[in-house]
Amino acid sequence: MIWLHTYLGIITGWLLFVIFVTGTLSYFTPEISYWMMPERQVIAGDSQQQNQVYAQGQRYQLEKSIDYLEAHATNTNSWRIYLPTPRDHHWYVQWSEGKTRHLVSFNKDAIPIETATDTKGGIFFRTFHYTLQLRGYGGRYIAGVAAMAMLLALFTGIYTHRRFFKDFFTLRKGKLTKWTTDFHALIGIVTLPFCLMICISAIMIYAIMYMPFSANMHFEKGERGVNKVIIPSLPTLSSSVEALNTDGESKSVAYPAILTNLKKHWKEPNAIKRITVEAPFKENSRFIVERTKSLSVSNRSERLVYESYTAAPLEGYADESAPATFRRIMYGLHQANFATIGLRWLLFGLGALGSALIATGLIIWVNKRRTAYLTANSLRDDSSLSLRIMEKGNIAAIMGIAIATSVFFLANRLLPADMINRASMEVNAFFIAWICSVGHAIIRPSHNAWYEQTCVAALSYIALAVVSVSIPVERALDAVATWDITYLSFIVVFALCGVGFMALARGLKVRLVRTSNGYVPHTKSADVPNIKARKR
Amino acid sequence: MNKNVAITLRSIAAIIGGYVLSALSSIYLTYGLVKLTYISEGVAVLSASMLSYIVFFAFFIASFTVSNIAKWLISSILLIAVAVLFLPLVDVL
Repeated sequence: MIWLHTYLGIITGWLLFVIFVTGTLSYFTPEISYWMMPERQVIAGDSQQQNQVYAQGQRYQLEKSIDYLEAHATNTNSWRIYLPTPRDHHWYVQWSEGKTRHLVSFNKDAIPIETATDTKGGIFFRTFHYTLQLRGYGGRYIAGVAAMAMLLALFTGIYTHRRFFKDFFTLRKGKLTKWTTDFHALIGIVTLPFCLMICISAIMIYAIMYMPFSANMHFEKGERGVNKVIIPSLPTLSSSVEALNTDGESKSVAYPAILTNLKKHWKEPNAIKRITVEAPFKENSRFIVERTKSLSVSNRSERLVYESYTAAPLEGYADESAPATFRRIMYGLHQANFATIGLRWLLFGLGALGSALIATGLIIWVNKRRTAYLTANSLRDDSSLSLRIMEKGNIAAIMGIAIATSVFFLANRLLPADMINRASMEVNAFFIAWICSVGHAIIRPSHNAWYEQTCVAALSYIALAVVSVSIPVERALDAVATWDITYLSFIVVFALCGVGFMALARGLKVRLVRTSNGYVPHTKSADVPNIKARKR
Repeated sequence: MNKNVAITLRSIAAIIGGYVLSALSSIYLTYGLVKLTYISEGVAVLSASMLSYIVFFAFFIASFTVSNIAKWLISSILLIAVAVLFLPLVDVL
């Protein structure tokens, strides 16, 4: 079991680490998008004071959205209205005309935003988390394999650390290897329920995709066929006449009456997330209102259906079966849309600890292997190949993702606004930085590479904090003036990351200097600084 | 048995054997759920697919814990062969 735990971790460790880091960042996907699009302003607030205005706010936003769509989206089958939440502050409408999709965002004064920043925003981390930027090339399957490997590693880890409580209260200071091992066991115990939930839910979300045989046997379209049967839908709308009033003019959508009815069902402020108007301008048009996910563990929130021009409630969606609901709850737990800000930070912290669990596991293997290698006193190059690969890979995976993330954010602010394919260039910057980290880790001795890459990470996060304040400076000033906590938090977090990496670099430098002083010139490997320590 | 050979055999049994057996179990479970609990085919497929991961997980762990891997591998191959043989019986619901 211990062997299995070790090798499951070694084989999938780097992959799991980047999946965990990007997944942890994805807890703040809307907030990251908000920071990366400085033209967005606070539209929705969640303070007590703003709640007073809120019911009116959504009514105002709905009215303006429908006015805009009635004027601009006349030749379409459906309208979609996304109202802003206190997390994303993104108010926009969508419609399609033929194969052309239209998306118009509004500022708080209902004026269409002409120049939106071309960026992937926080969606990049979320997509990378489960596709590894390999959608269509097996990325989701690789992520699924990683999730199962993590689940197995957790189970075998429980067996390895079955002296649960003794391990939990043991943290030996002094020797780095012992401290890392104890810390690995400690965070393994702390994050165990979280990691189990994440791994199980990750597999359940794509349960049929990873195990499609039964679906393919019983349904012509496989997984799609299954989903079509088990996901409730509304009856198809028949063709209908134009919705005209007695004067022969187009009827107005009866949203005031619908909102009044909604208030009876959904008492909380900001209850509406999305509205779909099917067959606008037609007599049988449907008005589908979707509730925010903040009150539901499931990833499918409640939906109510009305007739658009009479506000008469319609039957709506049927309830889903228990297994389908279970899958949705797994999805909801994984995404944690229900989490309030405190819980979200707790989950973020657990995700960060989960990443640290994987990183320490990888480092422990290298340290133990190095010790065993020295004990055997075998300094042949071939015997240290796996050790070297793991050392270099650990640097590239752990420091590489840290640097690449900061470069991605820096690119968002530093690339010209009118650059062609700007969003793709941000992503390219992320991968170029990561490739540079891999190259640097390969050519430099491991201890130097750790130290130098930590310095680069510290510098880039400090630069990010400075850039966040200064580009555009008006946005930062506005954030201070309006007490925009979300935006200001990014500056604080970047600065803290910079300081954290600086402290780490300082610690690594002390070790590096100690190692260099005790370095034995005739030993072949400069990557094995503990040689002297053992000989001493 | 050589340690490396044993590890290779255990890995093959765990990964390939586990996946094939869980895939077969998802098909048999779908049939069983439809016939025994009278739920719709779609719901049965979803339930069976989700449950089949338990089979994979258990089989994977067992492949690394059994004392005689050769015996385990032969038993698994026989079980898979029998399951494949009877597959036409559950093909049409």
